[in-house]
Amino acid sequence: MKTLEEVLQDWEAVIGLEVHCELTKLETKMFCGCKLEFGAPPNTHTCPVCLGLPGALPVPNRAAIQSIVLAGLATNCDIEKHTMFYRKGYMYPDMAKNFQTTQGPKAFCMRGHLDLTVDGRGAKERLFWEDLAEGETSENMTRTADGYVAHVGITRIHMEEDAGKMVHIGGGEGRIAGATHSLVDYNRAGTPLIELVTEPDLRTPEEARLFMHKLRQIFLTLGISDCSMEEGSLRADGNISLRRRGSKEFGTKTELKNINSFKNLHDGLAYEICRQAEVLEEGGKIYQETRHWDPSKKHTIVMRVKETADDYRMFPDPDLAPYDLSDEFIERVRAKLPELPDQKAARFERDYGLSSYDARHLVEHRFTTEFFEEACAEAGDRAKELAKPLANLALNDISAYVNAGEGIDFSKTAFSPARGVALVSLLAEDVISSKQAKEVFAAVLEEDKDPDAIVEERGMKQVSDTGAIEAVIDEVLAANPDKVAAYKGGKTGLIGFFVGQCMKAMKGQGNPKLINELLAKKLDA
Amino acid sequence: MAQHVTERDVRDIAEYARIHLDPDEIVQMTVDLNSIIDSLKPITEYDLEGVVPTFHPIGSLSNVMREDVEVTSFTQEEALSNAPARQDDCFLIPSILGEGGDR
Repeated sequence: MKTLEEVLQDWEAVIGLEVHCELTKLETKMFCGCKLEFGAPPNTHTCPVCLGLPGALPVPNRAAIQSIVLAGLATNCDIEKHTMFYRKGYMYPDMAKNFQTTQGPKAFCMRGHLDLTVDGRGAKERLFWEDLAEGETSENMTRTADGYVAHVGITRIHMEEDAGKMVHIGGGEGRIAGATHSLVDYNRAGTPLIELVTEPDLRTPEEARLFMHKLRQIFLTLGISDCSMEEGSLRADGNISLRRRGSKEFGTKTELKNINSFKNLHDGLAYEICRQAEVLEEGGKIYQETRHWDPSKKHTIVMRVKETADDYRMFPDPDLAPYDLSDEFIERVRAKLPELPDQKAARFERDYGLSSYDARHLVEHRFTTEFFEEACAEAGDRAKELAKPLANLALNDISAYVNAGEGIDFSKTAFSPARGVALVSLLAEDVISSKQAKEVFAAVLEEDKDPDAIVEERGMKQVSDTGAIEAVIDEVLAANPDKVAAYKGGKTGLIGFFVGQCMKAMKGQGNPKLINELLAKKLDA
Repeated sequence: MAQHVTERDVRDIAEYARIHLDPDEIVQMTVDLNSIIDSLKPITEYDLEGVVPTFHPIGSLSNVMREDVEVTSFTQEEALSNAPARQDDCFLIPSILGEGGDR
């Protein structure tokens, strides 16, 4: 099979996403007052409505409607005032009423969009952006200095409900294949669920990954869901088709399921693109079907041939009154919009003079954002001066530490924002070298002590005393007259040797910047 | 009486709805459905130019919502009391073919 890079030379991938997000932050279900709780004993949060008993009457949860309107406003959607709920035929036992309550042609949120900034390695998956001039736009991408911005349309976000949970028994490992029976737990049935559907505007697996990442950050900021891909409160399905470069016609698409991490989303889409290219290049045909990504075997397998939309038999739910949302309702929700990640990044650039790269990456994760903001508050008047080293600390040391340990809550560690400010201050004042700063960072986490105390205890203070350094330099130069002559004869690369000798003589505690400066002064004199 | 739906249509509808119909029931149901559709014929005789379609049977009600407040659920025993079979506090059902559904 060809690589993704080779395939994308000849083919353009057309990708759309369907993203489901459970509104886990709510107290109760979508249409009844049963409690939302992950991991409760089976069938302890059910009632006539979510068990689909005859005569039960559903009533929508106001907080769920507010949450979806909030999600729509945060993703630049138009809020549709006149909408209603529909019944969608669903003949599986994890939904006892045999239909899923969802929305019809009009959803609460329509016609939104998000912009994705793509640069670095991620930008390599997309072709031709380098042919554009900075600021120039072609199709849905605009060239930036070191990459491009992809403008991704959002078709709609609609409100619906989740199904219950099934465990298949008799087939081994809970799989359906070979199962003789299934166990159903209806606790999850009726959980408020929003589904976001994008336009087929994504062109690379990396763009799809970035879109999911950005959406997750937005939903987390809104506080509407815990957005856990592992626990299934945030799920993505991908629709993929290929077309020959230059063609405008869409090919037949497949739907990719079982994506429970950002890596799986990227790798599953990349595999499916390569698989489709191979089939098409061998003269085969792509069937409209649902495929399942198997991350351990690194391939996709057919789950089932897709039913047509007609089979769902959608019709307005006669038990649920239509909506006629008032401007007042929408404005009350708008007033609750928090500062979104993009706005936060723009503020970091503006107020602290950070590069757009640093600002964007800081807001990618809650722990880096929170650390940076609290540390800047702690730094007070010096925030602007220390912002860049604080950003470096968050993006390098702290990120590496958090990524190395599963599920670490960095705000609970000994390395508080105040200690962060103390550490970068020591660095900014040349008390310690950047190498020593790394040691102090690890020691603070290990020993729960202030950076100053650690520097003191370990005698790590960098020597920045000009007189002391000059004395060492004089010794080193006197001990190496041949190298001094060679330097003066043009071998200026020897400066590194002299710096190394000085550092060795000072047991690594000399200020390298100062040593360099003073050495150059003496040698070039 | 006009033939709006055929026996084949009725068989398909029954399958969608997961309702078993015997051959003689399909014959009778086809007659009944055609006569029901016939009875709606007067609607086609009205001048409905410019009339907004009624999408919903609930007339003047709108924006019916409840607060996000927990109410008492069934006990586990109540929830499972109608289950034909149970195991591990769950509804025990025969295996289904196919993998879940669309959500």
